[in-house]
Amino acid sequence: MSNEPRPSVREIFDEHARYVWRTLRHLGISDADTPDLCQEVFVTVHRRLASFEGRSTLRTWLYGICIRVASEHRRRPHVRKETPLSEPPHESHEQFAIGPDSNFEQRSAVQRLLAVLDEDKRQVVVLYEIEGFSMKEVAEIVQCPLQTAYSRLHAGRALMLSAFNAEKEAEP
Amino acid sequence: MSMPDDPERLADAASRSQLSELFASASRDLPSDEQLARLAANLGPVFEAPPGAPPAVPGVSILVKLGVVTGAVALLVGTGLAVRSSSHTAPISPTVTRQVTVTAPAPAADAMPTPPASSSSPAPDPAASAAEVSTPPALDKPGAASSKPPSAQSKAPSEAALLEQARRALNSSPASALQLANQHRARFPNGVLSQEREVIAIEALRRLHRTAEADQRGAGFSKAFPGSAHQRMVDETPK
Repeated sequence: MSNEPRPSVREIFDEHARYVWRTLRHLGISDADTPDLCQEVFVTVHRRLASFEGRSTLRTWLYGICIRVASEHRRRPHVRKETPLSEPPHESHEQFAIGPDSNFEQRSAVQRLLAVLDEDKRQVVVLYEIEGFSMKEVAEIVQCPLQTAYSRLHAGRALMLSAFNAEKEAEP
Repeated sequence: MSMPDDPERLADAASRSQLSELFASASRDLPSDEQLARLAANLGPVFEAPPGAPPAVPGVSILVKLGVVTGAVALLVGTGLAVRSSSHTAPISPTVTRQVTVTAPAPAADAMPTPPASSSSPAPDPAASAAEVSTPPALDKPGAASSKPPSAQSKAPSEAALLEQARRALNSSPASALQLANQHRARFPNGVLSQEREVIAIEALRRLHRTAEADQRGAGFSKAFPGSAHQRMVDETPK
């Protein structure tokens, strides 16, 4: 750990909360649950900050908490039944269509593309493609070997690209 | 931060395909200042606690999320009371609070005051304020989606598919679009695409010339999702 003073929970919140929120959303947490889960992340930060040893960066440590809070939440029985987007859609590739209403369509399309992925691949894709971590950091956050993280990223990309291309081919 | 061996990110792809644009847009999907301020207010006791303080007791809503509600909901449903598994809008009844208190882990309540139960998610629910009075308040049904038998669930369209059907019906049959949106609200009250559902429902109401209802549902949307990226669309839907 460096000799720099450890930031307070408030400082960590001010710097990272909006990105924690975004990450939770892209991990499939519903609009209704995101505020509470975000709160849970920072309560956990408060609990554990004193034992943070600085072997990772504060940011990767924080996102590790975020990933685990989201993962535990999704395993709760009442949540599993309310977030069917965690399952791959079966109906039609047309649902990936991107229309002119960019905000609506893009947000929905990203969520649906991510929903094609299982949890492991989704975590890696979100952290790398959206949150901008290096793959080394991603592997550290999700606690897997670097090569495994690469494999998940490539597999996730392939799945999303396949679904996306299939939809494009189906367009009139 | 990228390492030299890291592959090019989709959002940075030189081809700027639709897929890369999608991922570029994902980075802009941030909460509003209002949403963050509300979250900060809820976390006030955490911010004020001294470093290294004993583990704090999280807010009631978090305890509910942590699974206490699973048993509590079953108990309350059995007694005819309606409690939402998500605490997004409805104030948590005293009965729920008692459940939480009884089942909470060893507390350090003096070190960490518990935020008010209703303050973590004070925004009203657009569904609750919507003028679709014939539709039951779906958000007050804990595990609404789970109440169906597994066989029926597996045959039902997914959240995304249901909403896509609604979106596609908008032009040809706004009434069908509204019906599908309300069906979505009943099945996925806390769904990932709740905002999109409300946008569709509001536009359908406009097209059906049910302006007052559309305005009411739009007002509910604004309160429930302040700072939403869809707010402009809610404001600009054809009148």
